[in-house]
Amino acid sequence: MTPAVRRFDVGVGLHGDHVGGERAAAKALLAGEVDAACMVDGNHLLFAQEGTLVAGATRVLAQTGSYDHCNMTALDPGRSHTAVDRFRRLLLGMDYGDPAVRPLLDLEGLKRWRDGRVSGYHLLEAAVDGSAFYDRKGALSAADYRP
Amino acid sequence: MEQGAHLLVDNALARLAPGDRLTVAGRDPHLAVHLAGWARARGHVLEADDGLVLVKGPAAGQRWQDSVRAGGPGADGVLARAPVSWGLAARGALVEAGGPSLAVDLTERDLVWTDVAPRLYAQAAASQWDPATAIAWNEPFELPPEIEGAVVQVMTYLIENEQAALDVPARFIGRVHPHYREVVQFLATQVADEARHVEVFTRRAALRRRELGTSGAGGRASLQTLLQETDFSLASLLLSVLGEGTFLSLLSFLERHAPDTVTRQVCRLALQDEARHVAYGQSHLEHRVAVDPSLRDRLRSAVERRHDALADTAGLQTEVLDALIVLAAGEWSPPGIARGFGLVRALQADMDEGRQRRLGRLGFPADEAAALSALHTRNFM
Ligand SMILES: [Fe+2]
Ligand SMILES: [Fe+2]
Repeated sequence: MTPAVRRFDVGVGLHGDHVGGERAAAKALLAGEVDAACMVDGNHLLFAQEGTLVAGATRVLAQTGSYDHCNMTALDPGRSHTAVDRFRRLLLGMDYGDPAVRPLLDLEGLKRWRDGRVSGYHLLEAAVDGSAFYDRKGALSAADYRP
Repeated sequence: MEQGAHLLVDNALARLAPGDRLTVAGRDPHLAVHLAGWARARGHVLEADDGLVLVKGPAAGQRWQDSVRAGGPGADGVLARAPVSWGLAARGALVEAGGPSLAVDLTERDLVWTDVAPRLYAQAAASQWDPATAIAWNEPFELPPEIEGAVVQVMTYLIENEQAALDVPARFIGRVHPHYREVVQFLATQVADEARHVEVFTRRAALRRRELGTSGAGGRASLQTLLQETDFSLASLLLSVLGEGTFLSLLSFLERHAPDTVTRQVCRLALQDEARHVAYGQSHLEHRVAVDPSLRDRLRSAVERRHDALADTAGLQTEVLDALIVLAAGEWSPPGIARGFGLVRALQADMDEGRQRRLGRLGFPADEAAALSALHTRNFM
């Protein structure tokens, strides 16, 4: 039997959710509307601390390996290699000890930027393909998606 | 971790250097999941290992590396300069770098300070009185209509003066760096004092009559120049030393010659507060001229400038001066009026003498103090 997937789209204008969607999923879990919910480990802790989830009332069924939750992808880098390279150097140069950029890193939940990695995404990729969220060209194909 | 265990981990990490390892143990089945999420958010690394081993990250140290200790909490921790970048941080706090700067311009101790500021604030806090209970509002009395009218006119005059005395410190509160906490606190009590003075003088004025007295344009012009003085020390001179100083004479005169208990009580209570306001202004200016004797030139020109600005105005309206005579007379009779007239003459001499004495304590020679006192507004405040 294929499990039915219910998405909690709390869009911010991008093809991605923020913590709001995971919180809605946690509430649905607690209400018995769904059998399991996906969330990052830190949010499981956060939801228990803030009382969205009852501490100790849920259990972790499975965990993926870690992958980066956010990546900067430059399209067609050949045309503006210097700009992309400069952008990369600026990001990597952001120092948590610098009071001018520290609030920005805090907003992003980071202590520093790291070199791009594309590893660790295979489970996520398989799930996205399996649910036909994107088509072969990478365009959004999920009909009911509300960003 | 769902019930605050991060504090235990943090506490243990605080004693380690970045790169050091900490083994974490616990019975919660979610410990590994939660510890991983928590550690990542704080820049620590959870080692992929059998046990739970954290490697301390540099973030906490980085956050505080440029922090500054903002003086100390007591008066001995007051610094000569307070950077606006400290914002609203408590004096004595460890202040993280960054954050918005405060829009205050009085950021140097000598511009606002006096060593008695902490003591005067404490005294002010201990001396706040309740207008509802401190005054015998229901005490029965009936004055001859001329005398009651004089009291109402004097009260009407006092109210607008109190309003100016409330406005001036209120405008400065937002300009003093909160590092000079006792100054801000004292000014706050001064504003509260003046609010009570406005209240009790209004209540006395309206106690027997439905209508208040008159407000002269000249008196208001005088008060307006107080509001226009934007320099803290010059405003201290004009308002506190000269204006409120003159009011010490006026209020004790009113207390002494008040024809009824309520008038006597409101004037006595206001007088106690005013003595503190004068003490602050006087000691601040004594502090400042000791540090910078050239301030005396600026004090002198402030008095002269104000005098010139008011040269074409009437100053104290005759109705007020006349009301003081009638109030002091206490009865509507030629001998009473003559007595009241003499008492008001003596009052004006007493005011002048007080101003000269205070100017003398600021280092002005006697002849100069006399000349400056003579230039003080005829409105008293
Ligand atoms: Fe007052
Ligand atoms: Fe005052």
